[in-house]
Amino acid sequence: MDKVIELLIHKAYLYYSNRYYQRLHDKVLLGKENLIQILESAIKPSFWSFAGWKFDLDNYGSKVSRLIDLGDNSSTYQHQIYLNKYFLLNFLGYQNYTELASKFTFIKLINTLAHEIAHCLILEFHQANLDQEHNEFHSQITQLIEDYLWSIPLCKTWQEKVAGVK
Amino acid sequence: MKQTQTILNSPGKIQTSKKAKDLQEFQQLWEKAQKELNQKAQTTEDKLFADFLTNNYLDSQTGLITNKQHKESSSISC
Repeated sequence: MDKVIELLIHKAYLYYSNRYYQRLHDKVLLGKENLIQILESAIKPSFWSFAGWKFDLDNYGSKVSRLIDLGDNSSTYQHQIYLNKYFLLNFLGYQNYTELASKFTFIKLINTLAHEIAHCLILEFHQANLDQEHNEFHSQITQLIEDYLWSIPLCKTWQEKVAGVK
Repeated sequence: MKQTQTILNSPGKIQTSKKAKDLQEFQQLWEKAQKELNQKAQTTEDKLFADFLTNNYLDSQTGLITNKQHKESSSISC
């Protein structure tokens, strides 16, 4: 399941960044080959990973982002996303009869993933200083990512798999 | 001798000058799109794109799209 979550994170990042780069390509640079070449070499991908399950009594998820020096006066981000271990225990069927089972659902996991990814995206693409805010801007990006994640067939398949354990 | 040097250096100079011109055009189109979108963005998609154009730029030193507000690290639990 860890790899599936990592894949979803990667897909969400590509989906979001491509929206901007594609629009730059098509609408801003007007298809001019010389400028598109500049754009292609100017795109600086970042590193994303699912860093694991964490025991946490207060939070559904968390994220850590670090700026990595690339050695040529430039840098890029490394984003690591954590999810609460109760999600995993719940999906394995350990908490079927506890109150926690109703909170740590697969729907909540996808929402949490989108929520954490949105924090990272704001840091990387928008007002970096506001990356920890829970404002309207963060909600909009979370919703966008959540909708996208649910559009991936893999996500629905895993929802069914998890439901089948119970 | 001076004339030979000038001729030998020319192709490189032309290439550098063309690259600088392309970079300038890239930046101008970026800024134009940013201004237009900031004025008339209605949809969420337009507003997010306008915000992206406002908070990033093409760094002519590194040739990379760079965020204006670098943060060394950031962590959050929620």
